[in-house]
Amino acid sequence: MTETLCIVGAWVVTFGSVGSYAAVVILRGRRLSQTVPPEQRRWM
Amino acid sequence: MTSTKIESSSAAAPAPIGTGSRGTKVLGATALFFLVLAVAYGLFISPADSQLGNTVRIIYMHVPTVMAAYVAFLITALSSAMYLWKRTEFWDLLGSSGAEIGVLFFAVTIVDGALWGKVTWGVFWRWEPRLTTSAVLLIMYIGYLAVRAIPADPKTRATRCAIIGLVAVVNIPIVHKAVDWWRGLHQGKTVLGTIHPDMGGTQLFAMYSALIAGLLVCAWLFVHRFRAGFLAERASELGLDQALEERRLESSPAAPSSRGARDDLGGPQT
Repeated sequence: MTETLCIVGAWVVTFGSVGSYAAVVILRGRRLSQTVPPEQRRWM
Repeated sequence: MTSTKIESSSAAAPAPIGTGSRGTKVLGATALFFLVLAVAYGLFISPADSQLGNTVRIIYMHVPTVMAAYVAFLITALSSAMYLWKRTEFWDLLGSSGAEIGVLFFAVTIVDGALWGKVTWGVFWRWEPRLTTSAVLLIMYIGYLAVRAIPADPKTRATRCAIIGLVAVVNIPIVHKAVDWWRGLHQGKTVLGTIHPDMGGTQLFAMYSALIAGLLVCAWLFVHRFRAGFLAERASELGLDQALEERRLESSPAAPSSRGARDDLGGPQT
């Protein structure tokens, strides 16, 4: 029981943390891009 | 006023909204493909390990996250050195992106390791060499981010962070070699310093899928985080320019509205 919980927990923590961080960064970028002129946000 | 200007100039050639581009979409899709492989093989297809049992499935997350963290920290160190040499915003932003992403992946590594330790050792944490040096490494990079959050002149802040980025990276080889230099509980002998030597077949496939996925996700995050940092700097500059302009208008003699507003608030009559 502990083993299963720890295995599932490790995967949930990994995907949850990285996924949440990715969402925060993407949303922050979207919000900031509204305030910056287009010529200053032309990516390669 | 600013938004009107943005709309009019964007009509000529559309600029991307957010930090995404064609390159990040390709990178993200490739990372997603390897993530699906890692989940399928890591959780369902690969068998339990002869020594570690099913806890090897935690290692499929533990190793890729630590590798991603090391890569991010090494990029921070390289960027720190380059910043001290070139003094450009690019290297400062790259270094700070690396520190933030590295802290994320390394914190996840430690949590995954603690969960593995609970099953294998019976406790989440032991003050043994690998774990202790890992904790020190994490604290050093959290310190980097804390120093970055202190309000200061951008160049001063970047210089402080660059110095910390160069000092902190010295701890990585210490963490890595801790299992060889001191006696502890942590697993020591590994292929390429990361992967269990007895692994083969689907286990090795699961490990490499997860490793490639972890590094691709790290790269994808790097691009987005760097661009978000770049946008934050531009937005900060625009905000400062706007504030200076407003202050200039307020202080000019032909600004009766600001004087009126101050009178309404009961301010000093000069």
